Parts: sequence; structure tokens; C-alpha cells
Amino acid sequence: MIEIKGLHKSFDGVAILKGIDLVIPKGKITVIIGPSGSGKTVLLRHIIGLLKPDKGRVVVDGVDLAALGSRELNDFRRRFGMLFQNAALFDSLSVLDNVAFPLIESHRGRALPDVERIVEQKLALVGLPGIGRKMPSELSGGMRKRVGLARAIVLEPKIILYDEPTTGLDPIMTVAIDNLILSMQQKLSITSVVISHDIDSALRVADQIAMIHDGRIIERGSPEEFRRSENPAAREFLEASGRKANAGEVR
Amino acid sequence: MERVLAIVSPVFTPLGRSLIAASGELGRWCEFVWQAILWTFRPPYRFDQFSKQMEFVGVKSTWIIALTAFFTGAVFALQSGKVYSLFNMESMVGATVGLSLTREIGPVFAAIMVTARACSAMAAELGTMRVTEQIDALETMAVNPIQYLVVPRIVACTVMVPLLTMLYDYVGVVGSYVVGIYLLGINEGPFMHRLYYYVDADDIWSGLIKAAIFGFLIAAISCYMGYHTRSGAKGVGKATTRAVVVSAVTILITDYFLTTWILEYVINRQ
Repeated sequence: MIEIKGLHKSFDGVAILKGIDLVIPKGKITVIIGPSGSGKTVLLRHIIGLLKPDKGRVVVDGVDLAALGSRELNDFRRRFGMLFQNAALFDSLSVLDNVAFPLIESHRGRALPDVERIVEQKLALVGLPGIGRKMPSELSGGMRKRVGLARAIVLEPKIILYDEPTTGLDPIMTVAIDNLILSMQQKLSITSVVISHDIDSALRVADQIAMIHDGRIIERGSPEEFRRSENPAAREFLEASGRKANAGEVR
Repeated sequence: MERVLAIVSPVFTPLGRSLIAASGELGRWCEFVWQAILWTFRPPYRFDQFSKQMEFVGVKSTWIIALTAFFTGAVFALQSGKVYSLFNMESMVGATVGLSLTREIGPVFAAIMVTARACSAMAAELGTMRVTEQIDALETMAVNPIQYLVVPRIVACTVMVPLLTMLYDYVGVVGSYVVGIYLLGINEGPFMHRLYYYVDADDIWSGLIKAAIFGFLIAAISCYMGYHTRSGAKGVGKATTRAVVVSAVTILITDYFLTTWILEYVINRQ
């Protein structure tokens, strides 16, 4: 379980997070939605300890991240896998080396398992078997995201963080990534935190949806509860999504 | 008093602000270097990364260093030969070029060439990794980016710049020999004798110490600039330019102070 308590963060005097309180349940998919620039990614970076809060706490499985030293935090991060917005694959390494990277690093000084077999297994899990020899520059956006996901799950983490996993993808690939998020959760029973501004995608995959607006959580609940929300900002978000879908039909 | 302030503040306020900003940047750089030093001695030791960087900084700079060294020695011999011929002292050309190369030109030019060829690439590579979130990805995989990316580059430059300086000294002397003996017609015996007589091991050592310090500084500056890149492709370009300019200026300024120290405590002590 991840507990976020009274989280505040400012950059150059500009407040981005203004007191976030959120509980992310274990083994479920929580989608944090909100408009661009609302602080979603900043929140995600606090969850994995890439940023330190100005005020407030992030507690993961009972451990306060702010209380950990840099080495302990490094070790603690092995519980997480993270899929970055643009996959953040290492340009100079092949797909095989990219996916194997966390595995090799976590086994330094110890006997390595059968790296190639594990990597191939994970690539098959994301629907990309046999592409280990390719370089990241040879892959499409959707393939890069799936390789990023294979890298995120290679150590079989307890928590996976997805930063805008469907942004910039076509509708077919968006559904494919949504299905992947669902199947990861079902097969590996991991806690998933998805950052997105794609409300349709959020309604499809989430067990819990939290909406962040102007640095605060303004709405939280199951997809059904979220659909019935009376909060003006949440309604606007839902209606804008509906208008987008209708616009296609009218045209 | 207010009138004085009104006149003075438009000049001194921006000056003060830039001084504060510069000292803040220097402080952050020192913290960055301290972190790099700490992570150098902490396991795991990534020998594959060290050797990869040593190849990139050292082996791949060999030809450009040899080429520039040959022509530096050659042109220096040509100029000094013309001047010495006025006093009938052409045999001093070898010693003059040898001393200048080992004490000053070798370390300074080798470091500048490494800045241009390797350190600019380091800043651009780390900058691109920063803006494409690859450095954040390393952190999320429990790998310290300073240890993985910065330490091997700093160690490689600190080791390889002195080695490249030795090559620079040697090839530069060869260049001066070719021009001195075959073009200016200087007698080989006195040329070599003066070279052996005037150039001591201390001259070579002092140059190599300088080179190691330059290597450390240029790598630390370039990695810092790349590591703290912001604002996409434009930021990467800016970081690369700053890395090259600051490194080159640092080499020349540090050279003056190192020379003062070396002349006072190493060479004059004998």
C-alpha cells in the first residue's frame, strides 16, 4: 500500500503540489488523471523517491521514503518498476541489453540467472518476442513503450508506475497498452499506479481513479463513482471526453 | 543617499546577482565533484565502463593528438629557428621546443583537444540522457547515475590526458626534429645534445601532473553541464557549448596557477 500524506512541492517558488492526500491500495490499479501541468508526473516522481517533498510524506508498505538514506532508497527502489512517458530506453544498448539491464545490475557480485531466457519471456509477455537484437531507434513509439514495460517488469516488482503510457499512441495501440496493464495486474498481482489524462483509458483499466487539479486531489473513487461525480472539474473532464467521442460520430 | 543608490544600483545589482548565481553554480559543481569522488571508491566497480570510456577518451583521440602535435612542434621549430638564426644559436631549437612542449604546450593542447573531441560529446550524451529521462530511469533501477555515468568518464580523462600528453610531447619533438634538421639544416648532434641537456625528467613530470589535473577538471565540468541539462534539444546544445567554453577557460586559468606552483616548489627547488 502507498500512502501519500499532505504532500507539498514547489519549483522556483511556484507551488505544484499543494497538499496531496491519497491512499493507493495494494494489488489494484489506481489511475491518477488530471489536465496537463496539474502535477501528475511530479506526484509519480515522489512515489519512487526521485523527488523529495518540501512538506508531507510518502509511505510505501510502511516505509517513509524521506527517512531512507541514498543507499537504502536505492535498494528500496528494486520494489518498483517504472514505465516512462517516452519509455526512456538506453539508446546505446540493444533491446535485449535494455531489458536485461535491471537484472544484471541487481545481480552484481552474484551468479546471474539465464538472462536471455528471462528477457525473451518478458518480451513475449508484452507481445514482442524475438526483437532482442534490435536497437531502440529501430522501434515504433508503441513498441518502445512495450519494451519499456518489459524492462519495468523484468525484476517482477511489487509496484509498477506508468507515466502517461498511452500518450501519443493510436487508438489500437492505446487499447493494446491498456490490455497489457490489465494483464500485468492479473498475472503478477502487482500494485499499479497509472498517470494519464486519457479518461477513456482510465475508465477501462482502473480499480480506483483519483483526479488531481491545481495541485490537489479533488475527486477519488471507483470508475462508476467517478462517472457520477458532481465535481465541476471532474464533470468538465468527462464531458470533454464525451464531446471528443461525439465529434467523430457527427463528422 | 537615495540618489547615490539610484545611480549605483542599476550597475551593481545585476553584477551582484550574477556573482551570487556564479558562486551558487560553483557550490553545486563542488558538491557534484564530491559525490563523484565518493562514488569512485564505493562498489560495485564497473571496469567495463572504465575501459569503454578510456578507449573513447584515449585510444580514439590518438590520431588527432598526433596530427596536431606534429604540426605544433614543426611550426614552433620553424619560428624559433628563424629567431635563433639571428644569433647563430639554431642548435637551441630542440631544447626550446622540448621544454615548451613538456612544460606547457603538451598538457594544455592535449587537454584542449580532448575537450573538443571527447568532453563535448560527454556533455551532449549526458544532456540527451537527462532530457529523455534515461538518467531518471537509471535511478529507478537502483543504479546511481553519478557512479554509472560520471565516475568512469572522470577517471578515464584523469588517466588518459597524461598519456595523450606524453604522446603529444614525443610527436611534437619529432615534428621539430624534421623541420629543424631537414628544413632549417640544423646540425643533428648539437640539436639532440641541447635537447637532452636542457629537458629534465622534472619538466616531463610537471607537465604530466598538470595534464592529470586538467583531465580531471574538464571531465568534471563537462559531466556537470550535461548532467544538469534542462529544456530539451536547445538545452543540450547550450550545455555542450558551455562545457567546451568553461573547460577551455579553466585549462588556461588553472595552467597559470599550476605553473606558478610548479616553478616555485618543483623546478626552482633543485
